[in-house]
Amino acid sequence: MSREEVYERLTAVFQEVFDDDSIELKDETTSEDIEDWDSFEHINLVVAVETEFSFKIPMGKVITMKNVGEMVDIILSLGK
Amino acid sequence: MTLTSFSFFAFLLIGLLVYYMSGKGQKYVLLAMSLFFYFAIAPATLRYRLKLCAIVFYVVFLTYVGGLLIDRAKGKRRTILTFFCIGGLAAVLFVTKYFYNIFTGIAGLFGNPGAFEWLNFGSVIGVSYFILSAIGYLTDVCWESYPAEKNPVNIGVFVLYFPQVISGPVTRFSQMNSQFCEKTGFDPDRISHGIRRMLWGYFKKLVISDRFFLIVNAVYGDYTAYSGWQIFLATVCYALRLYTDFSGCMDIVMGASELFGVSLPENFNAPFFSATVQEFWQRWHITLGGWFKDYVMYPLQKTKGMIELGKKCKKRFGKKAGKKIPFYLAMVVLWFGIGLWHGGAGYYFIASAGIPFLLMLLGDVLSPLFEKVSNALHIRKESGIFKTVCFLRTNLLLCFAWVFVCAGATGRGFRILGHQASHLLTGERSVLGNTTLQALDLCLMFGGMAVVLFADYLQYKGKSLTDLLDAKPFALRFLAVNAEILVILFYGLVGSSAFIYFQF
Repeated sequence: MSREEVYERLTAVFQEVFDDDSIELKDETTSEDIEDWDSFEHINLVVAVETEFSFKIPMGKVITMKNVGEMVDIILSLGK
Repeated sequence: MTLTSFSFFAFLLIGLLVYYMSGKGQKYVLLAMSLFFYFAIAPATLRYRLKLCAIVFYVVFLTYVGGLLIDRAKGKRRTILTFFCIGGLAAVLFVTKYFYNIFTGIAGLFGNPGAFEWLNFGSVIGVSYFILSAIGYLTDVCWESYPAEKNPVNIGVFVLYFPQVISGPVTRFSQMNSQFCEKTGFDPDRISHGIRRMLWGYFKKLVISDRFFLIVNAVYGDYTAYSGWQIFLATVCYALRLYTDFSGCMDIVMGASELFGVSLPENFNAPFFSATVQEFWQRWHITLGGWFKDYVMYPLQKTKGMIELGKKCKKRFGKKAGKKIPFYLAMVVLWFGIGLWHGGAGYYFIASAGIPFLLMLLGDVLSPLFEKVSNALHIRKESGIFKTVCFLRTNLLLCFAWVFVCAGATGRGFRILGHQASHLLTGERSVLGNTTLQALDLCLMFGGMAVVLFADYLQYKGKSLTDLLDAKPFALRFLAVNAEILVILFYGLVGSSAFIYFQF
């Protein structure tokens, strides 16, 4: 799975979870950049990502990931 | 020894000299200082100190050995071990904070209230803070966030590090360990920053907070003599008192920690500039809220049961409403934990958990309605007036919670609210007529509070008062710091009351 492919699928997940088709993701994107990405939506987002990529993200990563770039790195490492 | 005593400054000075002369052995100095501080700050009976010694040794030992065992275990065994180790740590909290009261109450029903006197551990200073830090460490090891620490000294320093041990902040091992292990060189700028931070804390606590305490004490001590709006004023004074007390304490401990080259996580971020109650709790006691979010709420939301519940609710109630139900359930557990952490007494439960949770729930449920109303009225949400109204609304709503803390008992809290409603404008006494506060005291309280709120406003805007002062000429900075020292020395109410959050 390439980084570009992960970004494509991840963008679709974000758009679905936050009901916003205009969302575009970058490595630096954080919860500050997406209006509804708060502590409530964080777990919904993680669960949606897990469903999309068919693996579990360890809790340690869930609470420490700081931006989309780190999320993509985690997905790539778990998807190997 | 207290944070405002001469012996604390002597302790810091001697500690600093030894620390910067000890090279690679700095963490051993920190451990020795932490043990000395912990026992020096505790009440002075030998029996009590022996109990504390046993508790501290047990917590450090269990955290160290538990971490190593969890790290080696795999699969279900790893989960079971983590469960038992965390249970062992949580038991300390329950035994020292709750068991004596619960069992004495039950024994009292059978006519033998003294049967469980042996469970009376007295107040174990800081137990609620360092137990959470230790549980966080074991959970992180279980989640493979980092490997278990092999050096018991590092665990000892992490659990007992003296600036944080009595009232937080609740720290994470990953943030702290590298700072303890690296050799810290003497940095005059950092020392200067630490001293200024400590001064700022003493100013908040001794000059502002303890004066507001006099008003709160007078009014809540005999509330029936005061009108509803005067009780309201006293409640606002309590909010200001609590904030300057707790954030002042944090400034002192963070400043003290900076002297040793160790940065502690911030616990406050301009909480009075919060548009919603939810935002308030993201800006108030940040490390406690963050701990409960990461180690209680998120893992609970991510359990299979909650995910399945979310799916069912989405099918039944639609996507938006459905996904909120598991969230609200997790919030109930989170706030229950926070209420329990605050001691579990009924009035603290209501003030620290019940009311904030209800306000957040209402705010969330009614937010679409607020949105519609503000759109219909063409209100500009970015305008300063709208934001100010939101800040005032948040702080006024939270006054309901503070009433219960000031009242000291649930029933009394409700009676005070009833009295406020029925005697809104009529009272025998005036707030200021029944305290020893003079005009100068009022100037110090409200002038000082204005400076604190200005500093918070700068923080809210992403700036800082320190940076603002640093940009000014040396003479002006020199004057500001010396004026602060003089105000603390001449007008600080030294020894009038302990820090509120020491009790947890």
